[in-house]
Amino acid sequence: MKRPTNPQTEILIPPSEDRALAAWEVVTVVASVLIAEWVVFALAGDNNPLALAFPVTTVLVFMLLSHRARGESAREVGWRLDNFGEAARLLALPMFTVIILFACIGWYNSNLNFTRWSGGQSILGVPLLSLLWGPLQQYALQGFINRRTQIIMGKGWASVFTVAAIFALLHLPNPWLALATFAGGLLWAYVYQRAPNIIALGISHGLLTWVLISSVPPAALHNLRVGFKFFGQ
Amino acid sequence: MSDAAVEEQRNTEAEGCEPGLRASFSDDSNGLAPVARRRLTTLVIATLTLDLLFVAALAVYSHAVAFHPFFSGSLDQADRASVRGWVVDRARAESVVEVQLYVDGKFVSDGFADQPRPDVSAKGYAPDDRHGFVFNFDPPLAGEHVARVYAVHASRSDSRRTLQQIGSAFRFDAK
Repeated sequence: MKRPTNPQTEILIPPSEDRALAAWEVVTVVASVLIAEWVVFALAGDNNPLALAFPVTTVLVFMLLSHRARGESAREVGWRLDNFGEAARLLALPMFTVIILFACIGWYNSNLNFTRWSGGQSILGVPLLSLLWGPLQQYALQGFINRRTQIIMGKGWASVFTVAAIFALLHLPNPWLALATFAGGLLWAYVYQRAPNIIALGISHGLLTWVLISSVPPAALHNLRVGFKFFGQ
Repeated sequence: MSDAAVEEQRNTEAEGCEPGLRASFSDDSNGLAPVARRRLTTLVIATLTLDLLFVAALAVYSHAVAFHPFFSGSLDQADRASVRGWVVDRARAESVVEVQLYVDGKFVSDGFADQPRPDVSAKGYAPDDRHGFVFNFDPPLAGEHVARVYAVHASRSDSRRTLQQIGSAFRFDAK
């Protein structure tokens, strides 16, 4: 029997078993991250890197083995440079708008301080975040979850919205951060579906986080705390 | 559409910027290969199982650390003038246990179970006899009250302290 096609693209829709499997892969990754955010911090405290290492290692190994099982190369996932310019071009206007908007808000509220970082760390932490933390989060979000979501529901706003919603879910119960990550998730998921480049998205992630922190009081963002840690001091 | 054109449209992942649903797999026209599907299914089940076991182990470990299961003791007597009893940490029987007194659910006082109780060591709970506690009321209480004594257990480098009731609540009428 001929499998159905996406009428917009005339491309074969993956079999339902593959879509279900992709959904379970997303569930597995989200579950590991939620365990790290909620269970580890609740039971082992926030000063227990060994306990935190387990779910983080598990999810990273899982994603790598999944790529291998599906025959996905690093380039396909988005670790590449050839489309960096295209991704940067797609990101430029929305990022410029958001940066100007937040700078104006920060300036208007006398909260603009580009040397403020995580409640006191120096500006030197920003490049480190841009180069490590941003791409790492974008790899998990786009290189894995976005790709699996596209298998489930195809390319387009449904999958973009789902990726953004998952990203926001992982930042609960911090309300403003969840809202900001939902908006950022929409942009990054949209750009990734057009120009899959983890490096450009990671730098964008770090830059927007820096601007957000620099223009909004730390108390409003609750020092970017998420999960169980949100309720701590 | 020619076969070549169909194939080109399917294999858009290589370029990444073209319209259409990007094919995630090299063999997307037939879906995942059975071997890959089995491998992925195993991987998902194994990862979720590992996560579940980790959460269970962490829960048991954290509970055991926070709520030390080795306290033995008893609240022997409570009256208008004092509350008395004993407590031993069986894991460290030579150490003195910190205790807190609550009357009618309200904190009253804290102290250490370091008073002589020869009967405790005689029964083999501890090598020494300094495991009794005494809380004196000054002025003495009047009326009906319920006393509870808790052993204090510090864990995680003293950053977390938990209370565990010693014996059972003692109801007394201070006439």
